[in-house]
Amino acid sequence: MIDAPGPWGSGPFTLVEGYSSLENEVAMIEDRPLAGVWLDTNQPRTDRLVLEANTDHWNKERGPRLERVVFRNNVAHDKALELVCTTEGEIDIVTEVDPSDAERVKSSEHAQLHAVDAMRIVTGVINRFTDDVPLRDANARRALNLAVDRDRLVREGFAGYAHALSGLTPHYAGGFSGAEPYPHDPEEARRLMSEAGWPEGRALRLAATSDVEPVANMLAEDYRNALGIEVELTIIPDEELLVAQHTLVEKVMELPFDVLVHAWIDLNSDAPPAFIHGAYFAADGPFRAGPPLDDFEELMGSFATEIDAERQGEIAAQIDQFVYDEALSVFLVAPQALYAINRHVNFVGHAATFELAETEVNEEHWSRRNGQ
Amino acid sequence: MQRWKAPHPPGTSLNFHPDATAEVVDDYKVRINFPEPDGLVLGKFRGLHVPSTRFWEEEGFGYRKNGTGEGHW
Repeated sequence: MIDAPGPWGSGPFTLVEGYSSLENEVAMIEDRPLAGVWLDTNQPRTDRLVLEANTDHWNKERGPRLERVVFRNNVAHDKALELVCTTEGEIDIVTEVDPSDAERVKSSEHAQLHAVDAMRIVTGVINRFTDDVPLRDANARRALNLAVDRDRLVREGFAGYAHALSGLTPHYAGGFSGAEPYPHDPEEARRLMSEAGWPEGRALRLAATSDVEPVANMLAEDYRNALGIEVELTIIPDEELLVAQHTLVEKVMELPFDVLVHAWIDLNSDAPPAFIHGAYFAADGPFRAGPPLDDFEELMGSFATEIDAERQGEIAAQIDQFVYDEALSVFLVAPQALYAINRHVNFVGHAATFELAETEVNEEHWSRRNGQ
Repeated sequence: MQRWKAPHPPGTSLNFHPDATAEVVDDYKVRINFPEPDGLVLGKFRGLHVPSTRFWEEEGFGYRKNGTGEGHW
């Protein structure tokens, strides 16, 4: 019996067994007009979830091309990766492969690595509320960007499976400004930060969630080396994540960081400001960490009411150029989404979501070897 | 048109205008009327659930356990 909602977006398939749900609690940004987000508190799911092909799906050209999909939610990620690499008939697809496991997958007997240019970004949220350091000064924020060695971050932090960011829009998405990433220029970074007046002896408070701890460690090293200031790095424990999220979103209490290393996504790749730039800088943005910006609000207002797609894309690029010019974030990388896929599965990846509508298996696949 | 205050996990930024209305044109068509231009509407539709009749009439978003189900997906 199915007795809970989920998963979403299963139109090409019909849920016939199990569930995968989201439980949330609200975090308010404003009451009038109402602005808030849901914070994930639990992801209850059955050990096994089964989808079967919806043969009445309207878009037959797209799919489905699989009769049946079984999600094995009770197999630990490490074990699943081992199974897809070393066996057949156990696991066909493993999502969220860590870049450090990429070579293991590529050299395995049964799996192939599938890398997708994804709508995912990792940036540094700059706290513009704070008074005792000059982060309201664009030159200080530029210094934070010039201090970063993005090539090393991509190479060592993501084993090459990421792209350096110039603004918040990855170069393969709509509304990309065309700007080059800030160069790694430690001398200029130190000069700008010195001119901006970073207080002598005041450490930079760098915070991060555990999922981006390696990025935060590399960023701390860059800041110590380039800016010549001490860095206090705080990794937010997973059990305190919900409290930290409320603090950031609700903006009632003082934010306990100067820069927060933060990972985010988009739900599509057409108009990133709607979901990314707005989230970080708009007056009702959950991750806004500073006073609202009049020029940004004006651009976003034009963007949100523009119904001509081409013109909207131009405004989206202007918005990305604006946040780049003002160095409103520390622009870091757009990580690729990595999948380990059985060699006989033709997986079709998507930039924003995990979908299986177009994915199919060839005649060598274990499920078809008997002529099925 | 919206019965929940915040029908999408990412929050109210994906809400339709509170005065937007929907009318059923036929078995395969719904017309949505917006009181003002909304250039983000295609992205908002990206988060719109289009489940089966059985979903709405039986399980929905956890109606049996969670009342309206708001905040559960």
